[in-house]
Amino acid sequence: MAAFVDMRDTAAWRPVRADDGVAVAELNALGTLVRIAVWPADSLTAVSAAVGDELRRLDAQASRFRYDSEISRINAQSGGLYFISPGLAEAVEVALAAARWTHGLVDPTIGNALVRLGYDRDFAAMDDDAEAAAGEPWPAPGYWFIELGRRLLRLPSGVLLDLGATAKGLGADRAAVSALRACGHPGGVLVSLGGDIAVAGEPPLGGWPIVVTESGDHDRTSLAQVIRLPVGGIATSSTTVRQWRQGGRQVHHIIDPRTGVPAMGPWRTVTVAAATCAEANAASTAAIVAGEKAESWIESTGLSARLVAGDGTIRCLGRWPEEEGALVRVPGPRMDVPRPQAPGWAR
Amino acid sequence: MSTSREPISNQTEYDLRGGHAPPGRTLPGRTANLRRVRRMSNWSLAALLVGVGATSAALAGAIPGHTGPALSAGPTQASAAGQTPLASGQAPAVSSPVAATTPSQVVPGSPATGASRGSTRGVSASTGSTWRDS
Repeated sequence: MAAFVDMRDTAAWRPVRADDGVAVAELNALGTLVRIAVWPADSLTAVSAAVGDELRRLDAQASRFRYDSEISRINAQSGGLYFISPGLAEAVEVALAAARWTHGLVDPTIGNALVRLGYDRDFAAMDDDAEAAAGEPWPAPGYWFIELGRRLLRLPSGVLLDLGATAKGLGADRAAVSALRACGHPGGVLVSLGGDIAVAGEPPLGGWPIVVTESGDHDRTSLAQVIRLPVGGIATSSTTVRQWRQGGRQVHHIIDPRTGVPAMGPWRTVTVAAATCAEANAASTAAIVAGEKAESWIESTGLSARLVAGDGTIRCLGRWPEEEGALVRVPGPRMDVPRPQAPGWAR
Repeated sequence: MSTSREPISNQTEYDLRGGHAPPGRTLPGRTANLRRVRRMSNWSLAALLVGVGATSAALAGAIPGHTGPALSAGPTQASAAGQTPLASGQAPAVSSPVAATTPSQVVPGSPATGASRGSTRGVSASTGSTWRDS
């Protein structure tokens, strides 16, 4: 039986440090590590409550691994027309915007492909020793089959939604905004959901110092780099984590929607800084999927990115600094997230 | 009677305020020229102000690294650690990293607010909802 903890309970947060005028706390939630940093430090309690509230809402709306979440209830049916919550509508709209922006390199209709590969449950519950049964690859049907008009969602039969490429980034963005409201002015917050980071408000002098690394929190390997983020969000995608065995081979969780199998490009880890964490999240995933075309795609977006090749070679694109501790320049929004309009069938 | 013969001192007040000449009266050449020049100057100044405003707005949006209006970028030079105590409302100088951007690490046993469905392959229950991400 799982132990359930109310994420709004501020006592569930573990203080990490409170120096340099910034308070930092952590919480295990959403199957990963959530971290907040805030100044002034005395607003930590209010900020942790606000962030916990956002995480609880996001989990209830968009988690594919909770049978009682809104998206799971929709996926449990075989297509149809649904009146969904404003929060899920926003999450779907952001996922569709990311799909349009990346030309389908990330796609919310990838749910069936993940299930075919054996990623059909909470990753923490997947047995390391057991092999997922081999299934035929299932390419994503395509995001264009989804129709969203304000709060009306129409899903074709046989399409499973998975918002994994954008929802956690969106959650970090939402949490940062809510945290800033709780923090008041002047002040600044940083919210990290398992390494997907959004900041809001006024940053510390020189920007928020953040470690860019492939594995482990604050792991300082030779490939790690400290950068400073003034605004927006930063996210890292990698094929080196969340791996399992299926059909006698090692597979990972970043699926190419076009083929339905794990992406096999030259880049194993990509970190992107963008105007929002959702945008950074989508771009970093898309770059892994893009493979050989990752560099040209990122350059076409004007984003700042850091790519790690399979052999450990590092490539910095855009205005990503090569120096340690330097500021990352963040461009304005690149992903167009329009307000949902009533689709033709609903007018 | 011609207006041009009227003493200028009688017309100066309303002319220089920019008023119109009374009906039937014609402004003397010098005053009319002054008004014309002043009107042109006013329009030139207005056009200049509009031009400067539009150029500023265009450049603000085009500068690389522009970060949008909602969030303040703050100073771009990192300050050394160990500064004097902060004044109220002053952004702190943070010397060591406060977070890490990593591929999402799985934290077994991390609690969630709600239930997760048991596995279809014999795992009885999960310890929390884990997000597929990147």
